[in-house]
Amino acid sequence: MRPVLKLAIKLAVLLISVPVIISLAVRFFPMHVLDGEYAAYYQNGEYARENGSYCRVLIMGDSTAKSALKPDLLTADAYNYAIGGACPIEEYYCLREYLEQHEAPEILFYMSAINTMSQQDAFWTRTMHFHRLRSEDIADMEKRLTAFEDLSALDVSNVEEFAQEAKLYQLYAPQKYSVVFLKSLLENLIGGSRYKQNRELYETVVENEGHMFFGTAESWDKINHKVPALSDFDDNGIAAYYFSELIKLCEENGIRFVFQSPPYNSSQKPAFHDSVIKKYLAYMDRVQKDCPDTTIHAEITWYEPECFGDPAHLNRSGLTRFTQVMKERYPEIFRS
Amino acid sequence: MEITSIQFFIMVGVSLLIYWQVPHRYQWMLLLADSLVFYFANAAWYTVIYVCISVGSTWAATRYFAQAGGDEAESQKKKNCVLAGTILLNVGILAVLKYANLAIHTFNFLGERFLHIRGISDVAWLAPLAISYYTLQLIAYTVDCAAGAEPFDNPLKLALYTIYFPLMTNGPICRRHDLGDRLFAEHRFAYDRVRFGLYRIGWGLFKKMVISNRMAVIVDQLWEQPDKATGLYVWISAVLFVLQLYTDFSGCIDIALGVSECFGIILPENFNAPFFARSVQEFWQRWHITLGAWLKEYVMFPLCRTNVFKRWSRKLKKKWGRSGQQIPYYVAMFVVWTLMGIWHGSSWKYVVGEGWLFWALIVLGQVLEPLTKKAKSLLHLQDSNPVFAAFQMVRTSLLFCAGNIAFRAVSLQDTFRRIAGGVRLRLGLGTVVHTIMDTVSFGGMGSQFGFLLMVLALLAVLVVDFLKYRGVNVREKLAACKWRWVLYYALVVLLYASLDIANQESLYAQF
Repeated sequence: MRPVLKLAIKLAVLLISVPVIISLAVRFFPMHVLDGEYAAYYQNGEYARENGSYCRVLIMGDSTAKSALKPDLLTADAYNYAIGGACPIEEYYCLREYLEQHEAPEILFYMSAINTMSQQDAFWTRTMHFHRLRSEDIADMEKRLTAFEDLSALDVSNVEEFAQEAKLYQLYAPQKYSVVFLKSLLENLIGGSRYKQNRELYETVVENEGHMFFGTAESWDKINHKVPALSDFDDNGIAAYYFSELIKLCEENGIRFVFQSPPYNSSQKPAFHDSVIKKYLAYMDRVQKDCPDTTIHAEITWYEPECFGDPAHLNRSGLTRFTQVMKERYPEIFRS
Repeated sequence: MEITSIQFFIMVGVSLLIYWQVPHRYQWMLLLADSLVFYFANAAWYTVIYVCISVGSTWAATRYFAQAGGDEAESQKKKNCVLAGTILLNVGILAVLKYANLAIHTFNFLGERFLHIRGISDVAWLAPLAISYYTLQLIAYTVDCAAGAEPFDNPLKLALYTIYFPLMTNGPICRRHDLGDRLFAEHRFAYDRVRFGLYRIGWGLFKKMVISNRMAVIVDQLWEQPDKATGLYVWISAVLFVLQLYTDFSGCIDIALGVSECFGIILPENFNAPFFARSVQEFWQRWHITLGAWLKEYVMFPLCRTNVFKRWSRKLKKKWGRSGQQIPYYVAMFVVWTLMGIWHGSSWKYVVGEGWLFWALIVLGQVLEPLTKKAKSLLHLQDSNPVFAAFQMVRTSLLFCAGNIAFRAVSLQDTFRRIAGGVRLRLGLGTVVHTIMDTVSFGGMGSQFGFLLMVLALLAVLVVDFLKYRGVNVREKLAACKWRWVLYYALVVLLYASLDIANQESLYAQF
């Protein structure tokens, strides 16, 4: 074999085998490779595709809902279908997917923090990274995004860039998965097991009907010391559009929509500027006026840090306190 | 088409396959074609006119030197006039295109302060790609040819020498004897040479993509908040910026050297483990080596050889002895360091930070040398003492970081403000750690694991630099290593993992 060819083959093997191995590993062994909340996202998707089961109260929203609303403590026929980091975009498509396989619930109980109501921080890093949206959902999103001039909230400058970025995730491109692949490889080498961790989390979420704790269940872990500050609330962006689409979808399916603001950690007050809160409350007022059939409790309540497992999510004691408040506020929804 | 882009490597790959097959007489033409493609992909088409003027004038001048011959005084005088004219023309183009705004800002500043006249507005002229690099190459070529070196027999060969594409982003600055004959010699495929070239490219990409691009995210965050710049915040920001600068600049140089090596053209080294230098002077012999060597060869030595300097030196020696004799040398150094500063950019911040500061440190080091020798003997410190050596290396690196505050700062005032903040009695460690951690967690770093990878990669660079410092040929060691495929795979995975981090334009590009 000519030496040029020999070298070219070696180089090609090196450059091509890496993305192939990574893509195959993530595609076929995601529980072994992906980290963080993957197991919860996987369980969420699995629940959406599960045929037939009925729940009267479907809980949706972001991680504040996932950690603050434990169905078995609230009512017998509820399910926590929230996703950590999800904004109304993901939640709209998740509800659509759910309704394709399930009978419509009576009530959609939606809870989300101000930041996830306005920003799409986890859209790429979690929703797309964990393949939570289906191809048809992404295609639908692409179509809808053409109506928006500013897509900077999604970290892209135009729809083409959005489509290109989405394709990279759909094809398990190495630039999106190399870091997590390397991390899982090292974790396994030093004796940990990513699969075991994911499996444990998955089983916990299944057992708790979709509920999970973030940080620590018993006390604040003090590691993640603060939530990122929010400089503005986008009341007219993509998230706001999908929020109204979500309400519309509920109306079309005869579902009562209830929005509840989560309790916030008082130690994180500096991250929430008054002007942002004011804008958020005004936006929620508008939503209530536009959709009078919905129930909206957007007021901000502050809990002591002792009630939290991390800067933003309730721990067990916070959960007990908040469950009581919810049961008193919504006796018709969370009936024993 | 950036030097780290896929398009660039496709062009290189295709060119290499053709290059090894075509007859010798076409090889340099292929390189010229590649260089033109690279040039037009990166610069406005009409800027090539300036390149043509520079190449044309240099070609004419050097042909004149070759034909004029003879040593008669008249002929030498004419030669000197042509030489001066060619240099002035090339420097003039560079000065007008790159430094007009520096002159305007200075004029406006002085005019508004002292004459109370209205300022004039900036100009926005597009300069040719890598003008600061190729102008120096052409000057060196003209001077060498005037001194008797053989000029190229074809203006297109001179054009290739001027815009040879691996040099067009970050240098190195080559001279007639570095590059001239190698560009036009016959080069065929040689397995080991190409393999070593690929190692070098891989290492350069590793520095640029795995470290520098990630570090840039943190550095941008740190430097964008001048109100926080007090105490350690300033110095840590400066150190991180220098690490970004080093991995960026040396990474791009490694890619350029590696690509050129694959074509069989070995270029001069531009870095040699600079952070292991024990004095500022030594640092600059290890950092941007080709620029330092150029300034020494074509500014410092000719200046010291002029009759004015020689007379002055003799006079001062008579008056103050040996130390007096040194003064003209320091003045020549001042000129060199001023040029070093100006070369870095069209702002006084570069002249002060990248030029005068280092000049002052080097002169101070030389003037105080007898004192430091005495102090060392009093403290029983020997140069071979590893702790003392480590101290000197850290001190030198920190001094270099201090100078580079000017490089990253917005202006000269901003530089002084930051340095003043740095000497304020406030630790600022918490602020800097929080800013870094926030950037790592919520910024564009990828993830905390990505940060960890960057730190480990940085350690790897320091280890390789240390081996280089100790005279180890790392590439030969790697080629003989049984586990080299594990390292190849690790490198490729890391490069893929870094593709998602926004690529920053090289800090030394557009010079």
